[in-house]
Amino acid sequence: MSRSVTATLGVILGVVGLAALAVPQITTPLPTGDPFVLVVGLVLLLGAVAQVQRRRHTDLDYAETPDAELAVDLPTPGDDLDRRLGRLRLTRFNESERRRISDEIGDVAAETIRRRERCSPEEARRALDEGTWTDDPFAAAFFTGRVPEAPTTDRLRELLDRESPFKRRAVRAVDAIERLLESDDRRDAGERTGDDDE
Amino acid sequence: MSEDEPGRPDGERPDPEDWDPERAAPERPDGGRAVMDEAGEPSVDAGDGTESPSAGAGGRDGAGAETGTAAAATAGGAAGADAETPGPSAVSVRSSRVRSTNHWVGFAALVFCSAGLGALVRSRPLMLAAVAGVGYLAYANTTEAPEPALAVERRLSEDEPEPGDRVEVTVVVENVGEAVLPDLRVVEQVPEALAVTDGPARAATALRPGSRMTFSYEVLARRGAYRFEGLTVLARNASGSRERELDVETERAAITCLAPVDATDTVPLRGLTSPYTGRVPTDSSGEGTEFASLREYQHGDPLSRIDWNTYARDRTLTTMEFREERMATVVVVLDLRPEAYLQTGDDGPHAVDRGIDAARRVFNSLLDTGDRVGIAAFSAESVWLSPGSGPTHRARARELLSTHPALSPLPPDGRVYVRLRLRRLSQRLDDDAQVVFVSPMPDDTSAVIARSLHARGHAVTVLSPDPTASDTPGRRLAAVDRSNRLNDLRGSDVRVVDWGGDERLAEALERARRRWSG
Repeated sequence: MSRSVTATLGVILGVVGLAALAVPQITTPLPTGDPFVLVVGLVLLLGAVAQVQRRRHTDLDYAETPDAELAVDLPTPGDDLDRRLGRLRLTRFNESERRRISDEIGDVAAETIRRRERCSPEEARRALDEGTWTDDPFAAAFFTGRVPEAPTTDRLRELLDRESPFKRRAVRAVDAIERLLESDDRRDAGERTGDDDE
Repeated sequence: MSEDEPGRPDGERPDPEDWDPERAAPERPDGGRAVMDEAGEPSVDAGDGTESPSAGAGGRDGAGAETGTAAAATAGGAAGADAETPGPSAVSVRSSRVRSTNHWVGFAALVFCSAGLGALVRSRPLMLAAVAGVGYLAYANTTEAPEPALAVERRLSEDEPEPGDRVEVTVVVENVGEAVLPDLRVVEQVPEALAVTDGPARAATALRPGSRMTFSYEVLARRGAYRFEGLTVLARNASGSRERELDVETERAAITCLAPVDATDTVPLRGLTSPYTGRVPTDSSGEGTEFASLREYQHGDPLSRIDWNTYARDRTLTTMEFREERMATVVVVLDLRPEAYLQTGDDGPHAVDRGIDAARRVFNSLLDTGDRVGIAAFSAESVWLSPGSGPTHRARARELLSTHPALSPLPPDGRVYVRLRLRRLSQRLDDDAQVVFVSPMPDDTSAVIARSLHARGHAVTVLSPDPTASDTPGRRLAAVDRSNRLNDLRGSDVRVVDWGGDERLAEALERARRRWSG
């Protein structure tokens, strides 16, 4: 039934109801027996249930007011990778995403190794694949894909960790790369002071 | 040392995209919009409707003319009022939409319940309660959201603040329509780059015809030109069932925030420009320079420049200054690609803001040392100030660095065509011009830019505000990546100044200079 029809019906019933206040006789032709009233009451209660359902499936639709007070928010470099690492737990079996993350970290690692060891990019890649570039077995295992050559207790601890081994190793790989860069910087600084002394 | 002329050498090609501060200057708000009678009253003022019509409304060009809302009609009617009082002027509606809020959906459940139970237990009060509910539902569903006709006045405590100043914005909203607005919400469209420091930039109230409300808030001024010209208005009917959302355009108010005239600390740039040009002699070796003056010793001055005679005489450390005999041409090139808009953590100035600040200091310091300096940028819009010298040039640069739309604190919307910009830039650069490339070096493209300029024979110095942090693995990796990029550039003879977030620019330059001379 359309809205206007129900509205008209409602208005007519309302007028009849008001008229019945003044002239009670006009309601005599209407069925007012107990069973009828019972049925009407139950139908009304069913209507109440229907309205509750309607409310549950309708969201309030107020206009969203803009955040006028906040200045623009800009990212910090690396936020994207953090976000993807964090999301990894939800997409547990997303192999291609893992590969992308691993490639991304691998690129920076290879570049850092190449600078540190003053070697060719191929040699840096090989060091990465063989895991010879760092002392941290877990960081090395991130790129080799092999079981880390670490004491059983350490490996057990890794298994029991809340984070997935992939993420943990990714973080340790980043730490190892950072250490590599720092030692490289220190060496550069050392050479420079050496030059100054001459 | 500085010249009075704008410093355009003969034979320089005229540039259609030259920065013109006159043309580019933002519109200023009307000078006549002084503080009016009820200034500063933060409350809703139930006016009597006679004093409200605004004088400026009828004269405002385009106010409400196209949209043809009730606001326009009121504006026309208000034109005959007292011409002496400036006040709120009618707004024009840019967009409007009405929606049902679903506020009363589900209320019918109560009505049904009450009526149903009333029928079952034969209770008159319950039946009557249902009747009252039906009545209210009928009212809520048949009334429409009012169409607000508003006049708005916006007052700024200052039009030309210094960066860091707080500007108080006072907004007066008046209901110039015939209808009561039982639930009116107004949200100011604050320019995106500005942060509100005090008070919400919004207000909610009920407004009778002719009455006004006033609210105010404070924004923190930062470099740039900003316009306040819009409001988001929400008007609901009394029951809250229907809502009208308007995007209205108000009379414009603007603030222009220029960088301070004098850099607080000058930047030691001699080492930055000298060794590469072949035109400007170095001062550290003492060759080809002419003694100019003595000044107080500052931390970091080389030992060779200390005047030991003065020290022997009265035990004070003084430093000798040398005059540069010839000028170098330096172009400060800003990286304004969207990728460069990065920020360390959540607050503080972002990398591009720091870069522009650094560019200003470098520019001023180079002018002080007698070099001819220009400005260019890798940005969506063309930015070019051809190298020059003198106070006029300095003023033009200040204006450009403060208010050029491409240098806004917000990332650009358009794409930046790096190849195109690189080609245009190298056409404009003199053969022996040096380049100071100001970029946070966020990606390999920035390194490519530095390298290509270097490969074209320009001495390139990369001045890089460091946007990286080290609190999460991703950020640490990004920092390593950037560090590798800078080291690679250093390896290929490009000078790099890595400017950390907690460091003064002068310190970073001094550190870099020691590295270069070491």
